Order: sequence, then structure tokens, then C-alpha cells
Amino acid sequence: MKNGRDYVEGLSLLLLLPTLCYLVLFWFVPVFNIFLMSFTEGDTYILGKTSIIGADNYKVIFSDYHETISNTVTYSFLAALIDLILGVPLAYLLVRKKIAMTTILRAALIFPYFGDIYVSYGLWNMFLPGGLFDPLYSLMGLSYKNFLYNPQAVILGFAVFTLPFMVLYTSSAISQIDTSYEEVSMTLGYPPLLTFLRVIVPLSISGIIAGFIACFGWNLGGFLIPLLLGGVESSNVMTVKIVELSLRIHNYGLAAALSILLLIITLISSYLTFRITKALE
Amino acid sequence: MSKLLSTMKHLYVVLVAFILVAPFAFIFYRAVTYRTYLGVEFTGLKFFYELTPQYWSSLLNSIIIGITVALLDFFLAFPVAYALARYRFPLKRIIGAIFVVPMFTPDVVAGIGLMGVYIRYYGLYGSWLGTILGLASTSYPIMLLPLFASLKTLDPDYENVAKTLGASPLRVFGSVLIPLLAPAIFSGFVLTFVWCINNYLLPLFLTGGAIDLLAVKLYSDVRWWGLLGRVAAEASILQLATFLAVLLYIKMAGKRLLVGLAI
Repeated sequence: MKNGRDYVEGLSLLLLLPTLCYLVLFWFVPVFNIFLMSFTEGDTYILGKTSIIGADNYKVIFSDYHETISNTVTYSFLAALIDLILGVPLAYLLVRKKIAMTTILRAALIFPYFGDIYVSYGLWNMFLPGGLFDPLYSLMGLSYKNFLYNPQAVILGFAVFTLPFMVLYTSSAISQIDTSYEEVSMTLGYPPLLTFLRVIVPLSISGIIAGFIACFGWNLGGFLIPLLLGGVESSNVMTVKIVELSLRIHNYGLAAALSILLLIITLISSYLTFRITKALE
Repeated sequence: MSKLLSTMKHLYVVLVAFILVAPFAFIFYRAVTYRTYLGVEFTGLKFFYELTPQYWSSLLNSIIIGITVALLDFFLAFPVAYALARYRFPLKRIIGAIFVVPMFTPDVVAGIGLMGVYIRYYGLYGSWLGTILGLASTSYPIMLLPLFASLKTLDPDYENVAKTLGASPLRVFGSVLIPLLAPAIFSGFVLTFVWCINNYLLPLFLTGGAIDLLAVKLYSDVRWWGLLGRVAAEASILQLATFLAVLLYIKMAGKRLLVGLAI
């Protein structure tokens, strides 16, 4: 290109324009609308006779829903941590083709695009009586209630749902590492496990962090997983509350305020992912 | 020592593969078995025969919406991917981020926002058009990423030569870019299709049940009738449709299986 300075090439704006209009109409306007809605009372905004109550909805959220918010963040964070431990070694083995079944495992990485409906329904059925773990229950004298309908079940569900994302992000970072680094480390006497921990992990750390944050962000939006696996007691997370408040109770104002909070957390995490991976460059 | 490590490695891979695949496989298993007090009984396709015609029409609706949304996504994503990959302009990073942001918006949030504007301003609530436009707004970045990744690795000389030889921009697009980008276009198409036919939250907010979509029906059945074999049968059919799409994808994408999946 000509010189290092940024300059606008006319056609580029023309190309961006249609999608930008669409984006404004179907993303920015709706989001701004939620913001406005969060200052109104109940379902008055949707019904068209807006009654503004100022920041009352936010006050209610911070006094009554702080547990919901902390639950959401904790579950998502812990699930992302499990993904980190399970996913990074798999990404390494996949990229370096040290295992069989590579094609199947790589194809499995598309699973999150299926949404959370199968993961939650499948896991739920597996844990219920008559599922996969019946022998385990009778052997250890446990009941399915030890596994389902508690925070651990929700965290497990989240972790299973987003594990492929962790592997995706990490493997794209690992595939950029030259194999000679590992060879040198092995030649100099490091065993494979230490090579992985002290050569591969530090070299791919940006991808790992990006994967961690991305998993965290995706977990925040999970809805059916906490609903099914958490049951009544442990489904106290933001997505479930938002759906309940809006579609069931019709308190759209409160739901909107909660949505704004969820959106802010998600946007921060996706922005960090974006910065770290240097995507679209 | 190395033998132990190798055993551990295999155990670990089997464990992860199990974690990834088991929930999906178990739904199929559930759909063909029935649990009584005497044990598990194989029922064959009994539960599948219980599905009503309404169910099949909702599957058709889902597929129609999925294909339409994927097509719309292509026309939304391609110009942006091309501009980001080929041209230079100030604030490119931020502009790129803005175009990808809808993908990270939780469906609940997008649902509430779109529902509000549909009811109050656009008058699209409960309509096919509204559902299609709403689903496209969160799914077009899924198309954008593989397209961008492929355009970035594609030598611009192909287009330049075509231009020099006198081809119109439309001709360059149709006869040069589309054939060269076919794998990326196809993979984006499959991913957005899969994403759409399995999305239950957005249609739940946008249609209010006015349009029968399989994912929405499946969601409410899972919630209220989750233990019935019929629901497992419903789930396995939608899952089968999804897997067929993905199988096609793997067949077509070949070695470029995962290009541009991660942002």
C-alpha cells in the first residue's frame, strides 16, 4: 500500500453502509430502547402509555437481585475455569495430531453453535433416574438429587456447553507456535508434560486468556442450562430472571434494567476477547 | 513414566470426547427406549409415530426460516467482510468490533430489545418478516468471520486481473470471488442455518407463539413434558436435521474445517 498513513478508500464506506443501517435499526435502536425501558414502570412502555419512574428499577435490582448477579458471574467464571483445565491440553493434542479421533473431535467443536438446548436436555436426562448414572447411584448410595438441582450441576452444564470454544481459541493460538520450540525443549531434557506447561502454555497464553473470557461471556447468556439443571433452587441467574420478569410477570421495566446490566458485563468480556485475539485484522 | 503419561493422555481424551458427545447421544437413546420398574425397554420408533402433523409443519417452518436467514446473512456479511479485508480506513478495529458485537449479545437481551421496538415502532411483532430480520441481526457475524478469514488469505490479484481485463464489479463478484470463496460461504451458510433452527429464545420473544417453530415448541415441551419419550423424539429429529447440515459442512469444508470459527 502507498504509505503508512490511514486514509479512507471511498468504496469501503459504500460497502459498509447497508449493513450499518441494518445494524442501527436492529441492534442499536433496540438496545437504546431497553435503556429507555429500564427507566419506566412495569409494562407501561410496551403498552405505549409510558410512566417514568427514574432509577427505581436499578435500586430494586441492587437491593433484591444482587444474589442473582453474583450467582451469574460466579457460575460462569467457575465453568470457564473448568473449560480452561480441560480444554487447553485437548487443543494442544488436536493441533499436534498426537491422538486418534482428531476429525470427530474437531467436528465436535461446532457443538456450541447448536445452542444450549441439547446439552441441557441431554445432561438432565443423563442425571435423572433411568439415565447413565443409575449404577453409580446404587453403588455409592446416592440419589440423583446429589447431582441435579444444585449450583454444581449448573456449572457442569455451562462447562460442557462452552468447552469447544475454549479448544477453538486455544488451538488457533497453539497452531501458530513453531514445532521447533517443543523439539528444542525436549532435546534439552524437558519431559513432555513440563514442555507443555512451560513452553506451550506461556507461548499461547493470549489465546488461552481470550478463550477463557469468551467462555465466560457465552456462559452468561445460557438460559436453559440453569433452568433445567438448576431446578427451582439454583436457577437464580440473570437470563432466567429476565425471561421470567418479562414474559411471565410482564414487569418489562425491571427486566430491561437487568438486561442492561447483563449486556454491560457481556460487552466488556467480548471487547477484551476482541482486543486480545486481534480479530479482524 | 512415559507409559503412565500415555495412558493418562488416552484416558483424558476419551473423557473429553465422552463429555462432548454424551448429551447428544443420550437424547437419541432416550427417544428409542422406555423405562419401567422392570428395567429399560426398547421401543423402536414408537415415540416418533406419536408426533402430530403440526410438529412436521413446524419443522418445515424452521427450515424455511433457517434458509432465508442464512441467505440474508450472506448479503449482510459479505460487503462488510470485503471492506474489512481489502480496504483501509480510520478506526478500522473499532468499526470491525461494532459489526461483530451482535453475536455476543445474549439472546435474552436482543429479544427484549427487539420485542420492544417491534411492538412500539416497527409493527413487526409476531410476523415472519420480523422473525427473519431479528434472527439475522444476531447471526450474521457468524457468516462474517469465515468470510473475512478467507478473503484475508485470498490474493487480491485475482480480482485485480479480472478488473484489468475489463470485468464489471458485479462480474468480479459473481465469476471470481464467489467460486474462490465457496468453501467459506458454504461453511458460514451451514453455521448460520444451524444457529437459527436451534434458536428458541429470540422467536419466543419476537413471535409470542404466533409462528410455529420447532425449536420454540421443543423448548416448551422440554420445560413442561421433559420426561416423555415423545419429547426426546422431537429433540432427536431437530438434532438429526442439525447433524445432517453439519455433515454436509464437514464434507464440503474438508481441511479448512474450522477457518474463522473463533473470532
